[in-house]
Amino acid sequence: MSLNNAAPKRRDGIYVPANFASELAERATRAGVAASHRRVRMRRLTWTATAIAAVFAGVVLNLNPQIVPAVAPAPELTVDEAWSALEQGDVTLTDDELLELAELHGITTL
Amino acid sequence: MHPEALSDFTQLVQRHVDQWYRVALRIVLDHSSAQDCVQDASIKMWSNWSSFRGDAQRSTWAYRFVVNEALSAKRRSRPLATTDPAELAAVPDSPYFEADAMLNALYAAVAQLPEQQRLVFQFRYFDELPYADIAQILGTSQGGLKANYHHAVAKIKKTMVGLNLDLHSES
Repeated sequence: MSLNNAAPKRRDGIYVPANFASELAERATRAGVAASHRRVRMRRLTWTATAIAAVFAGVVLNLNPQIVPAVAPAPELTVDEAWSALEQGDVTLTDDELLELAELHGITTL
Repeated sequence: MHPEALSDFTQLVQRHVDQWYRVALRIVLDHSSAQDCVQDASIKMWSNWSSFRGDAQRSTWAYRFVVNEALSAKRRSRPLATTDPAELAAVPDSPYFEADAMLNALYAAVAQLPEQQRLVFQFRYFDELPYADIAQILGTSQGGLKANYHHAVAKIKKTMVGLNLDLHSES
């Protein structure tokens, strides 16, 4: 970039004294680096907080598993109930399934 | 961040900070806002330092941050009806600004231009930057810039007719 830095005063009428420029440069550099450190610190804090929260949740769930909503157990049917349901036509089975079921429960007459 | 990068950043700031202040001041027209813009732009430069792709000079890349920051600050602070004397006069309000009647008139004429024409005129006439650099700073084509500069000069000449200001005109 071809900027003529030697000229103390430009066509725009703005004269920037060297001491003001160096002070501004120092402030700008410091601000840039400080903001970057802040961001890194924030990122670290966020990760740490997330990790702590995850570990805490794990410990709590481990100590008190009732907090986790229980999955409803599958309904259990007796052989008789299943057979009644079949006889009443509530369940439709293929011939193969029917034979397999009969064989499984020792039923010899259908 | 690598210490070498920090050293490069520090050098860049030291080398160009006066020019950044000048550019920001001409946009926001206020001494302390211009300093804030330079500072905020530096923060963004440093946080984006590693994402520089090298398709422009680092200094040109840095200018974009300053210009964007100053334009955002100007948009944020623009009151519906300004009472700020500097803004009404459209000249920078800074202890480091000094102008005669002709330069004040030029600033007033520049203030009448649309944003893009105003920026191109300032970079070209005040800073004497090549079009290639201005194109990279503003993210536009050189052809468009030349057209904008041409229109800007024509409008300024029209505004300042009778004041006999010597503007170099180019196509």
